[in-house]
Amino acid sequence: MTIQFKKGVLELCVLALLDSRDRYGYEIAASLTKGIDISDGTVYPVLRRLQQDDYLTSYLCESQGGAPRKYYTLTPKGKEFLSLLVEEWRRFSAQVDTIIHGGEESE
Amino acid sequence: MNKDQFLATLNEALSPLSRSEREDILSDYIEHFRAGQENGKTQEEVAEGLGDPSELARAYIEELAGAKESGRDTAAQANPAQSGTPSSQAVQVPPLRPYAPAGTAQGAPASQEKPQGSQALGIVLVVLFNFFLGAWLLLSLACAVIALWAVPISLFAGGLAVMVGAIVSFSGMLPLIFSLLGISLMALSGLAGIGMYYVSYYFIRFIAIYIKFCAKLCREGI
Repeated sequence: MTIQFKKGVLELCVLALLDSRDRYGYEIAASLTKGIDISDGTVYPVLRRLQQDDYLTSYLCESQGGAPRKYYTLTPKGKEFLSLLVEEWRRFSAQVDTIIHGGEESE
Repeated sequence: MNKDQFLATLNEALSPLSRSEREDILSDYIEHFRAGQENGKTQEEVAEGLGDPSELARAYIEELAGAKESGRDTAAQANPAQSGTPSSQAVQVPPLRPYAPAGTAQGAPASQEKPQGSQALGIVLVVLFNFFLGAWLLLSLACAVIALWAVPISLFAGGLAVMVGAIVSFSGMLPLIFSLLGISLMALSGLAGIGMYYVSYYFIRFIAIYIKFCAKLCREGI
């Protein structure tokens, strides 16, 4: 369960970051690793999978440094999937909260 | 590890994939190194932040090998919550990718999702093992534990009998001596009783664990 779970949460986080605006890989990795204890590299397989599943598309855009950067953007399908994941996450964490509080009461 | 070492290790570990796939993946990391260095990091720092390249490669390879399954998972999860649009679910299943060799990532998908067949196998094995060996072994062990309870019981009865017998039939110093003997036998029976209590306790716990294990095998397969 844990691998699937972690994958799912990472997908959710990546999609959520892209919901506010388009970002490039390094940016996404930096935002994620600030809060979650994963290595930067973990982000790229997730991005790739999401792109293959048509939740994201990418485009190249010139950066100040000169070299083009690959920006990722959500597709309509990706937005739909994100709202589904968010809903699922809310329900799941609410259930966990209930269990945690229930456990505290009984002790 | 510097940039070149990182990329070389990653490239090596990605060798089951096609060349264009590999180049595509590596380009993401090359860009990451560039962005990291623009942010004032050294190659080594970026490489360290990225993590173990062979570990990362495994994610890609498992991904491709398990792409079909994970697609089905997503669709299954989406089902209860999603309102309508069955067509969009159908698209979620990515096409089978021919270049993912079946052998490379056998471990991962198998541990994540058990096929139906292995569950049936689990039930058959549990039933067969218990019918021919497991249940009989446990039964005889249970008999042995019950039989061992005879030790404290008989020690207690013996001690009591020695004491009462001596008091009833002898006079003088003898009842006192035999009483002491009887009491020490009863004390010994107490110790044996405590020992047997623990033996029984752990035996019952062992049986509980064993039953749970069997149930788990039946439920989740081998």
